[in-house]
Amino acid sequence: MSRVTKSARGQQEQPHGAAARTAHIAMLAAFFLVAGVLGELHLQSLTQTDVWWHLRTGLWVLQNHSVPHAGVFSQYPSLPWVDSNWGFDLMLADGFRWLGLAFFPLLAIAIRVLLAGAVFVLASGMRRFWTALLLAICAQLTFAFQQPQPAGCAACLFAILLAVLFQYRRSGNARLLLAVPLLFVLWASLDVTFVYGICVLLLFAAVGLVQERFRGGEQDGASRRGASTSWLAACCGSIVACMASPYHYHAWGAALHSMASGAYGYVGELHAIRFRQVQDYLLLLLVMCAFYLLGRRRSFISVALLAAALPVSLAIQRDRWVVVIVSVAVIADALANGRAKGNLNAPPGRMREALWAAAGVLAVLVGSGAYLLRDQDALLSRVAGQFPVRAADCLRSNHLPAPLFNEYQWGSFLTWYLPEFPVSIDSRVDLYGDETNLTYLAVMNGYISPDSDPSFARARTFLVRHGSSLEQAVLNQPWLRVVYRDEIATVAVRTE
Amino acid sequence: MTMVKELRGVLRLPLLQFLVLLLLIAILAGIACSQKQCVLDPDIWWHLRVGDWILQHHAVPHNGILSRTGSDRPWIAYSWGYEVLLAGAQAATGLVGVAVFGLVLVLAVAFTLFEALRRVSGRFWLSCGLATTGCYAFLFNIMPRPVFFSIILFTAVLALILKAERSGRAQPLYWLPVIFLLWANLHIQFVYGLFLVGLLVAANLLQRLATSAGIAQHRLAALQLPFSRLFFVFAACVVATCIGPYGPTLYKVIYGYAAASFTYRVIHELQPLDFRSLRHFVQLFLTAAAFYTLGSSKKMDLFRPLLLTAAGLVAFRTMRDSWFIVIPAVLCIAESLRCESADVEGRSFLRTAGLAVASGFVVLLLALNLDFNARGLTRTISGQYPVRAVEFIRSARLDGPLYNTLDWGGFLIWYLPEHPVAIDGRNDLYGDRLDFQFYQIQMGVSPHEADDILRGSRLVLLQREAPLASELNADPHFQLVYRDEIAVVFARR
Repeated sequence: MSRVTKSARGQQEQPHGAAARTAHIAMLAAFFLVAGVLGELHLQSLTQTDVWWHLRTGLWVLQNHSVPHAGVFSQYPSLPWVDSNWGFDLMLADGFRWLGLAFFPLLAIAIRVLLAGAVFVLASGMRRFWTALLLAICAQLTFAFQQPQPAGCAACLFAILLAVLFQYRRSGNARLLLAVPLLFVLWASLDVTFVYGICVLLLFAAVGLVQERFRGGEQDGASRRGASTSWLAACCGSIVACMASPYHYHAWGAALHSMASGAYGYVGELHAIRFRQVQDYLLLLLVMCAFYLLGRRRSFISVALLAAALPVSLAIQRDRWVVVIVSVAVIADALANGRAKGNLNAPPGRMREALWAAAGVLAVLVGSGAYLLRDQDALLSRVAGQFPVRAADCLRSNHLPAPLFNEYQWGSFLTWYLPEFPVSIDSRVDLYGDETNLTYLAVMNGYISPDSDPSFARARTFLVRHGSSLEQAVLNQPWLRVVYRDEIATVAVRTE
Repeated sequence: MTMVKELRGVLRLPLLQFLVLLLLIAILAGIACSQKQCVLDPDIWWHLRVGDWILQHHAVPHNGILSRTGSDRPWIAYSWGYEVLLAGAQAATGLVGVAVFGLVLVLAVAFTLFEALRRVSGRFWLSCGLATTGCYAFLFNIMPRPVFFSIILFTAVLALILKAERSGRAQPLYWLPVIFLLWANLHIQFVYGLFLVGLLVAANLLQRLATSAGIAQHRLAALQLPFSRLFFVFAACVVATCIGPYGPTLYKVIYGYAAASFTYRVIHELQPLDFRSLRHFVQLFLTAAAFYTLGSSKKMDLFRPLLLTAAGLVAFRTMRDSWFIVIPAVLCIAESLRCESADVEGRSFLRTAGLAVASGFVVLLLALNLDFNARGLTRTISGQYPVRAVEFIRSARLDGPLYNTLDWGGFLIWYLPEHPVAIDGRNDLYGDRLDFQFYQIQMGVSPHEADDILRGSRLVLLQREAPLASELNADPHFQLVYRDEIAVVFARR
């Protein structure tokens, strides 16, 4: 009797008829649309800092048919440097060659829609439509990706990885694990955070192996006999797959180097979450909700996963997506385990519809965006509202002498817009090293005299932000002459 | 099996438990005595001077006393009770009295938390572990100040609420108005406790509504406490907070603090957790563990999840409020692991008195060995505050008005009372605008020549490393008259 009732309840949760299905698809399409467009209404992707050096590096790779191994475009060309995002840079440069600056917002939209779709699928998708939609909305609100950046792609891949691993645990279908190394080939070329993916995979494998050994706790597909071979193959395959790039094992070296970097102390995006905006609190609620549900439906792997992701994301706000995606996966898994499992075996056609909806929305957005954003001059003027375009034009037209001293926030832009002047600093903190970065920050904050910074001392042209304390310091130097000034930047040259 | 039984027997030995408690107290006291945070807090000094002022005038202030820029602004000493106690301690035994007062507050917080945990869980060792973990997470994030009274009273209020819910009797809650009467005269964060009681009432009402509407009946725990009594207690608590020299004006200050924004950007203790210290992760995992244990209970009530959620949202915002999530979290964990058979009320007076005497003896030994005396405290203060610079100003008879930085304002109120300060840590007195103005000038972001307050000053006392100090060095209107490794003094030419 109770089985019949449960089954009937499960049936009730499925929408009946074409009308309900159409309503769901329409709602999903609206969500993807809003998720894609909302962050790009004011073309924010064109006003962000990092994207420009990715573009410049991508163009360099296209031109030279190789990846850089030293500090290209900077005043430190002999410093070793590994471009961990070379795949992303290549994609950006290729798109730029086709669509110009319009490719930036389009790529940002594409990443957001794909991420929304991946999270929706991870959260059980059409099988539990409302829960999945709510979780995907929450996740989207907490991500805050403002520019087309490798981390967005990494988040998509992370969501897919978790979806695969959880599905494997439920079904025990070893063929699912075949996709994992392929995922890592792509991930390692896009972003250094592939290390997180490897850690998650190792965690799943360890729990799977322990459960197979002791045959206790959760009985699921992944703890069947023989699963250990699949786990070991997936782990080894994935670790090797991460080396399938022009950098080979150096990709791992770069990943480890970035983890040991002192930049966590002084780069804003590497600081902890500040709990000053709504999405920070939303993230906290999502995580606590996941822990609450775990209390009801205990799962060792979920607890371990969440406990590992939580400190990483809270300590490094750039990586907030890690715990958000893990929380979504854990909540979806807890709800799936807590209710009738029949729901999980809903017809695959439903999920396909969701993916088609995402693809359709993406196509419409990209197509209409490409049409609307075809005016390159208008896009460049948007860029000029944030970056020193006119000041850089002045430098170029007046043939002002190198080397240049520039602001940190503008270094990335200048690598693209003013390639004839190698920059003194930009947002590639791993290239410059802690000493150079900290000296620059001390100058910027007025703690030491500007002359103490070697790049300031040897510079012949200075490009600084209008109204900044550094501008004050520059104006106070008797041996500097201001040659250009607008509401964004001031340019000065050495007169000695 | 026999060995386990024997071990359990040993762990239940009162003497062993007594010694462990004594050890924990000794560790806490050792940390407090060696760090000497009780005399390093920049705000403690203005509290001390305000306490003196109250004792001297037999009245509480209503405007910005001891300040030259805020003297005509309205201000109330909302921690007047604490300030009077602190001033009394100083009057009795000087600087050592101030330090001992802080030390006693630290130990009182830890012991209250332990006792609350023991009463909630009925387990000694669990209470020891949770109290130690909880204290580690929040106790040394902040320095001993009026907020410690808030922590103690918050713990007591929550323990009474949990006891009332457990027993199904509202009698323990009748103590709450008395607690709030005391609390509102000691510290402004009584509002956190009031929120706690308000949440209990709201959760009770919501749960009743949900039950009557047939929502999640199989999951919700049965309600024990009658709504009318809870509401009566809450109303009595609100009335009790208005009994004091300032009456309901306290709520105006609360509104002012809630609306402040600048202080949350620059004051260190109001910054969020930076997750570069182990204690921040401990706070995080205690919160997570509390949610996990709530989820694992068979029946749920609305009060605990709502409390943890609200407390989490507040506590992760600023380091100062870490205690606001840690205490409910450890109490929720302790409650979920409660031993029903334990006799939790049975601590005899003699045993408590014995512990107090033994602790006093241990603390005395530690204090003697850790330089926790007038000489050691003075040395510690001199390492952080401009003691020698002030002595120079006094000996050279330099004229004011004085210009100082926010960090040292509180200390100067106490140590240089003849010169009213330009600014100090009373953010409610100066407001966002003035605080921001001072910050901009100090950091060299705004040109100092345009600042009215600095222009009207004849004497400037700054941190040696402050960007403003470099600017004044190059300013012909000012002359550097004193410099040491901490401070610089400029006099207007």
